[in-house]
Amino acid sequence: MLALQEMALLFEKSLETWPETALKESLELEKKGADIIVYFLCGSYVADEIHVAHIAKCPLPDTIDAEVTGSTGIHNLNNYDDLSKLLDLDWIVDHATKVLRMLPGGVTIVGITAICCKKVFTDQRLVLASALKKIQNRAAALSTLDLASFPSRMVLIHIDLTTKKMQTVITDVVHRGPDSPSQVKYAQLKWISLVTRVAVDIRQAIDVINEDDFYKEFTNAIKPWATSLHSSDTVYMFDDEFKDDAEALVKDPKKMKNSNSVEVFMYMASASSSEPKESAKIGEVFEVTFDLAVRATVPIKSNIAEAKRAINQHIIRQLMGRASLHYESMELQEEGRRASPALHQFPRAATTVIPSGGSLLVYDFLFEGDTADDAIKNFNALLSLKTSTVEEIDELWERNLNEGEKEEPSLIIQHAHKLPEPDNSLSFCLILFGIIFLIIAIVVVAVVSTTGGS
Amino acid sequence: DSRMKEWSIDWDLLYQNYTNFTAWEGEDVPCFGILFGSKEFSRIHLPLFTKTIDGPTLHQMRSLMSSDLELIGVIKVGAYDVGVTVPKGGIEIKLHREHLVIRDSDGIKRANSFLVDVPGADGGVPRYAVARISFNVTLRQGNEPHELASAFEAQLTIIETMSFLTPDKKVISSRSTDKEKSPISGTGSPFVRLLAMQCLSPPPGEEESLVPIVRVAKGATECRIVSVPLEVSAVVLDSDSSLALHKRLLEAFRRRLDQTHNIMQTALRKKGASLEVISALFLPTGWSRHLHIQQTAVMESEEVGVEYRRRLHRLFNLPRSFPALRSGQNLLSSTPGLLRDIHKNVKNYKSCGEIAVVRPGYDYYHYMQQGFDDCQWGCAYRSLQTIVSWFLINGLADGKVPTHKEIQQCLVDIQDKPANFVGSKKWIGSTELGFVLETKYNIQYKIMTTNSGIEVAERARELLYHFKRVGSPVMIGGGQLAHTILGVDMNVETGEARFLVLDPHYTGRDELPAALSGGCEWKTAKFWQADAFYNCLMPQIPINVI
Repeated sequence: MLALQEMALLFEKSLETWPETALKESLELEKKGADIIVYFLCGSYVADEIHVAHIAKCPLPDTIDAEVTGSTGIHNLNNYDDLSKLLDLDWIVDHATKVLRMLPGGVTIVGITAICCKKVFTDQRLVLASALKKIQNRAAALSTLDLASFPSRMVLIHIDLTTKKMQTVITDVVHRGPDSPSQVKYAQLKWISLVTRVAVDIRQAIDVINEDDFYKEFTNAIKPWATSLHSSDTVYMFDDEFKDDAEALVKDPKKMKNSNSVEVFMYMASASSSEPKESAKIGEVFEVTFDLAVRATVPIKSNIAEAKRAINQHIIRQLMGRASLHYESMELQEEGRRASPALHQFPRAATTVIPSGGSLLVYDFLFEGDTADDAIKNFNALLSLKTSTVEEIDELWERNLNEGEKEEPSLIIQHAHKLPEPDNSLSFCLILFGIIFLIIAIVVVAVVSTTGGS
Repeated sequence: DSRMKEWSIDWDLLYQNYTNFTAWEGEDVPCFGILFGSKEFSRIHLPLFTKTIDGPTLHQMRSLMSSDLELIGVIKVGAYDVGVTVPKGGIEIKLHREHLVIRDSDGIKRANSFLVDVPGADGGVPRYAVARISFNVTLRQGNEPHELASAFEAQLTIIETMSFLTPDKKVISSRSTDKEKSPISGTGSPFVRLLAMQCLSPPPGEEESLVPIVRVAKGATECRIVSVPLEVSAVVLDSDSSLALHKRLLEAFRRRLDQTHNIMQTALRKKGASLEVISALFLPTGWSRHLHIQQTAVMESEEVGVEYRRRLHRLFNLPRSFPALRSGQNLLSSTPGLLRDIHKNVKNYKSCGEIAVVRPGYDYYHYMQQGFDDCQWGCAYRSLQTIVSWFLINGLADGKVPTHKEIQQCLVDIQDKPANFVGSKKWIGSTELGFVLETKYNIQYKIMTTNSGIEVAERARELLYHFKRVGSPVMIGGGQLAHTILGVDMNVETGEARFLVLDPHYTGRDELPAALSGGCEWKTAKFWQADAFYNCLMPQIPINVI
């Protein structure tokens, strides 16, 4: 394992002016009483380097007079000044989670920058350290379901509001040890987009859990598949080739001048079990259907193992991020939810490109009634982007279910990207079965509506 | 078309199948034939005789067959009506029963000028590729048949996205081109294991994809969760392109899924029946293509299994009195690493008279295998293992090849040996072998006792008779050594005899040609010591085991 002090910290060249701009802004905010401003460093880990592509400001509370309760134990802070003087750990971590959801796999929050005076920094150091640990923890869960390792080294930068000096340390938030000092260097960094599509149908009977927690149930439903995803069952082809984990993703970066993407094909070996086995359980059957356009992103000098990890992170993060958004949006379940079948439609993806950092595509997720304008608001508020027009938003990745589809009993065979041979008798039988089923359904509907009318 | 293309046929298989058919149905029963084969190569692979056949049965037969075989025609025997329509572009062979009885290939050819003999190079054991998938089926109580059908339909769509990875990481996929030669065609190994991979990345479509959807079925229910492993094989041809092989593999998966689905639906209808299904692959004697069978795991040992096999024997013109579809004959369950039928590799032997050798289907067991050091004491144990393997591979016994310890334990259990015999390095002889065969495998045996090596040669005729009528390997013990006799060559006039001997004392690797020169050779009568007693254990085959 590399010693911490060997980690190099590289910022995207276009961020060179960022400290100055951020300082100016912080001074403005200080006048309004905000003693400390926190920023999230978004980037990637590659070999012994940390690359930072983008920096997003952790928003300040916009409801100045609201009652805020934080885990720091400070209650009933009724004015902006008091709140800003004391960091609210939950506030930071919750916003970091929102930012994490928006980042492609391979990119994560690699650290925090705090702009404040020396005394505030010293006072809040422990909170910042806790925040780093919690963010890393959330990122690992959100990106891997804790089924794979996740980088544990995080950057903490303090920019002194008075002296304007920048102090940087790299800290291992999992394997505790002394922080190691580091220094920010600026470089022309390049990111590569790993382009693939993953369409999967999962049908899983899960144990019924007592609390009505869709997020937990969803996690249980996809866990077996996610476990396969992280195992050697999953096979990747990069630009039509199988490559060893240690191989460079891009052999000759010069040849990638006009391109910033690598096409990936994914396969999953489906022979995990060789013995037939039957078991019985009382469970709730979940059918999960997704078809994700993957644009995981890694630094150009990444190796194949890092690229694979980024793709897996992308898939899991897209699913779990949306599941949590969906769960948050669910109204309190009425009694007896379990008695009827339920259809859950996750929010759809909308993307924009981060101007700095090459081809970094970031995501927002829109519910059925949401529009590109909502995506603009979210990108600007959470990622500190300056998106201004809907043209900058791509929301044509996915579509919602239409009314007819919502009535269908099952979508588990949604992704027939190639139909079976027409002479196959099994499919014929099933088509026949389908037709009969449809006829029965029509008759039932007719009967029900007749009954309803009389 | 007056200039009809030529179709090749294996005459021996035609007559063998007719003989088996008459053994089942009687010699004078009116019949007709159905032909399965490859239109692409104009080859009749499987001529089958039947009294009558219906559509579902024909469909079932097809789903059990190698994926390159289709119904290609019929045989009209005499004036009896053929109950099957000749498929488009197919053939109709017209012949008389007499042709089949006297094996008159020329007569049949005269009446059917499009028939030709199978070229010499195109025959024998086909090369094949094996791939496995496994999937889980979750069936909610009360809705099982429908959910089972849905699960198989879903699996069928997944199959369409399947690609295969060769051991040296070459991909065989639908994206392969017709011109691209298959990466496993032309390589020597008789079978290749491929990794079946579900493609997670379908090609980008024109339409937007759907947002992630989760459907939660109504409430908590009792569910049956069945893991279904499917072992699928397809024949590999030297002329294959990747695309051709890919198509054949997918068709194999479709047929196996179809069969498995039917079996599971049938099992669902039986209260309390297990849904566990196993795959088996057989190559009945004389066949040029495999027979693929999916069956519920409990079938093998149950009465219903016997009935099922009898039905298949009848359907596929397999022998009436010799098994062809027992679990020991399943090619997918063969012991890896052992040399099978090594005597077939003995070349350039010049016979001195009449030869009779072992019926094929045994593995070569010898000293030091399975990491077990039995040098100086284990030869008879190894000979027994070879014999048991023959019974298992030929479907004549159930169970597995016994270890040294299991052999010893068996002898202790029947009180032939004291308890401390287990784990010892003590020798055993033909009598003990007989006890174990009888006790553990229900196999009867004869013992031929001789007073000297010279007498072994003198009684070669009995061994010749054994190999002709029974065909099992013979253990011979004497002069402190045990060997396995696999065949006899005898000149009836001069009395000269030679013995094909498999030597359990071989300690080398299980590789050709090393194992051949060290372990399997023709020996003259002098090989047996003149001053030693010899006992020959001649295991007999059970009657009517199917």
